Amino acid sequence: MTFENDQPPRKPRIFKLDDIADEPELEEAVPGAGAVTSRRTALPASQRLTVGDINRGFRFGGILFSAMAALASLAAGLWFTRFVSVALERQDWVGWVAFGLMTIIALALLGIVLRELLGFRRLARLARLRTLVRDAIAKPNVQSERKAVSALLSHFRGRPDLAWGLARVKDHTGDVLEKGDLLRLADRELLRPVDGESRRVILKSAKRVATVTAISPMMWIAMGFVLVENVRMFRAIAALYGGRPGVLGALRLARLVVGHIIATGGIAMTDDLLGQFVGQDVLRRLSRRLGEGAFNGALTSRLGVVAVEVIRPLPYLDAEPLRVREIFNELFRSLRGSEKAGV
Amino acid sequence: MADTSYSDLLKDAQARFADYLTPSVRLGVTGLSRAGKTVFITALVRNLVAGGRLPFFAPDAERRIIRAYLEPQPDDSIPRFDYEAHLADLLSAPPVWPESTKRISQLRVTIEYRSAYLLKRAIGLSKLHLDIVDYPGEWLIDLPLLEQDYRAFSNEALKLASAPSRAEFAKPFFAFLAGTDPAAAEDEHIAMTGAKLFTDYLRATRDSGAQSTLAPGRFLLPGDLEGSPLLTFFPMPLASEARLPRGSLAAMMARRFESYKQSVVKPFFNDHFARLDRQIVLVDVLTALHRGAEAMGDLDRAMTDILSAFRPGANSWLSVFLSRKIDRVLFAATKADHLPASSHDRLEALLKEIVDDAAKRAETEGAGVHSLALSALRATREATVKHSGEILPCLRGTPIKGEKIGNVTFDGATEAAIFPGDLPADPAAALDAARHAKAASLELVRFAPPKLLDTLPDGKPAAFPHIRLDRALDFLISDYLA
Repeated sequence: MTFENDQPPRKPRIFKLDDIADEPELEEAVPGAGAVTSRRTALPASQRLTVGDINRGFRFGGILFSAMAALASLAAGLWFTRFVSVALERQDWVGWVAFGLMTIIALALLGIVLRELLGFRRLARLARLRTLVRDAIAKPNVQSERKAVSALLSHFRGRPDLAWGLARVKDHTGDVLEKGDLLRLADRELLRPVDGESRRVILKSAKRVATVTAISPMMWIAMGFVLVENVRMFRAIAALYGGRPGVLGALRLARLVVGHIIATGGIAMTDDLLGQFVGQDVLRRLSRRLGEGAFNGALTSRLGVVAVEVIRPLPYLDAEPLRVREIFNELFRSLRGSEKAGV
Repeated sequence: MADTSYSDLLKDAQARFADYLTPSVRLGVTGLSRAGKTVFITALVRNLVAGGRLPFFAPDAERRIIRAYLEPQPDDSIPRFDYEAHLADLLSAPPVWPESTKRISQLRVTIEYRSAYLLKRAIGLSKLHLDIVDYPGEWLIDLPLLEQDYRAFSNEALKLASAPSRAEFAKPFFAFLAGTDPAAAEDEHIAMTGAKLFTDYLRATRDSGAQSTLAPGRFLLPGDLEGSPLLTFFPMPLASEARLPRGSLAAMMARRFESYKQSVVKPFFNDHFARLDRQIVLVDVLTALHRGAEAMGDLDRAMTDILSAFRPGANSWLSVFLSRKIDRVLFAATKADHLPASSHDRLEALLKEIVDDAAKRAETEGAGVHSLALSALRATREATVKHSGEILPCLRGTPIKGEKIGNVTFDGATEAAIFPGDLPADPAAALDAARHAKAASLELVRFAPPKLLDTLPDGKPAAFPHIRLDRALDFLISDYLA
């Protein structure tokens, strides 16, 4: 059974070692054609009509509010400049202190901005890595897989906690493996330990949220704490996977996480949250406060698990995925324990 | 103190109990000569003992293997596989392929592991004896003899020998038979002459490559039985029902045939083959393809014969043993390192085509069957060469002295990058072509073993590079290490 377009078998040949083309050096992960943007541009823009298009025109409310805000900030700015210039004009210690403080403020601001920018860059690099990996998985071939893995290796390089895993993966990069095996190996050796660590982070955050919700006197305090704790958790998780974002980066991550939950919510709800509601119901009979705490804790752990899913450079190939139910069960146990202990 | 002595006693008892319970798995390694059995076992043991290079051998990947080490030979009657000598060959400078062995040998590797099951851990089951039994594939050809008597054997052998394609080689033997009367008085000299002529015929048939490999296998591969009376018999034309007269040549032949069965075939079957738990059959598909139609036919028939030993057919009482014992058979195309990785799929397809029938039979008997392309010791590295706009997957390695491609002959010292050509895409057509074509369908250059320079902290050589040895191990023994 031969096909006409089959290539005829090629003849054997010898080459001198000088002829060997070096393996193409791995440059920084090149973003693929940008899967997200291409999806948006897939439909010709002219064919789609959005609410925004219909409502185009002057929005007087918007103008009013922007003008008022501008005026207010102008006033504050004027007041501040007057205060600063007055302070600086004084040639005594007050002036110098004011000058020093302002320098510090400027430096700190610069630092924060730089850090946020760096954080965004790291997240972007992680996203590029994800596209690279996704492409390698979608079209399994040894070349693209090698490329993805070596991008992954350089992404994690220098991490002391992963030194062993890095060495182990490097050991095998030159081996002949089945398609997909190298990525599985990287998943097992590099990401599984990180998964364990992020599981601990999630559990800790969930516990904190649950406890604070259960004991806080006012709902607003609890809500504020939940917010702060969740952002902190996102940052920690992103940092674990090598994406260390700033606060804004973490907020963007939070947006991604929420988006992901909304997109996949239906399925995950039945899978993960059913047990939580049941458990929570039992808990609520014991104490309303504890029930609320457990609910917030469960929500936090769910957010954490999704955050891992969103930020993890590889899908779960060889490592066991983090399960909300499992984390929640541990949380539930520890809450029941503390309840029995009379807290 | 009574307490400590009691607990010591208890501990001791537990250890003894666990030792007693320690399971052993017998892994049969077979294949025709030069298929790579010796290198396979050496590399396998080295990899198990040194560790760290078996990423897809599940127990190792899960970090459950604590250590593996060689233990003294459990069976006093079987020679030990000379692991150290073969290892030394591979590690010498320049490295050489170890010499092939022509007899049965065995090696025990003990693997200490942590079971994934709580119960097993509680009992203290944490060891597995892996007994690797290496035996020549040619011996398997003898197993069907167990069901034949001398008369049946003679009839079949003579019928085969008089087939037109074989008659030429058998001419001297037939001439000898014509001048010999089965009813004549027994005579050692006649027996020896006949046996020699019969062996010559078998050998000529095999060397021509055009004929089936024939029983009795030890005539071709006598090992330490060379010159023994056990191998001094030959088939004779016998009248169908007549009793063999006492003291006649025919009676002597029949006696020897029975002894051959009793002291060669049966012990092998009872002591070795029937006790195996797992089996790996190494097949050198590449060399056969390289050497062309005759070698291919040879391999084909030899494999059919060998594999029929694994056929628990309707008329075979082997099935009783087989269905109970060997429950996993792995067919492996060796020397995969002589092809670039992109061709391994095709090599596997070829192997599947060759062992297809046997694999199906074994599968219906309930044995797990798997086939893959492997290289126990990787002698080459992958490279790509851009040549007139084409990117060719190449192999870097040192070809053995005297190997040729086109009009270039290698001196055994220089490294070269070689593109070995493509394997055909369609295995069935390729095998068909290889069986009939006069020219070789694949140019294959044999490579010298790699220089194994990596050492472990203790100064011993690190685990060897390989291709899919871990997958083979995983299929063969990982369930024992659960």
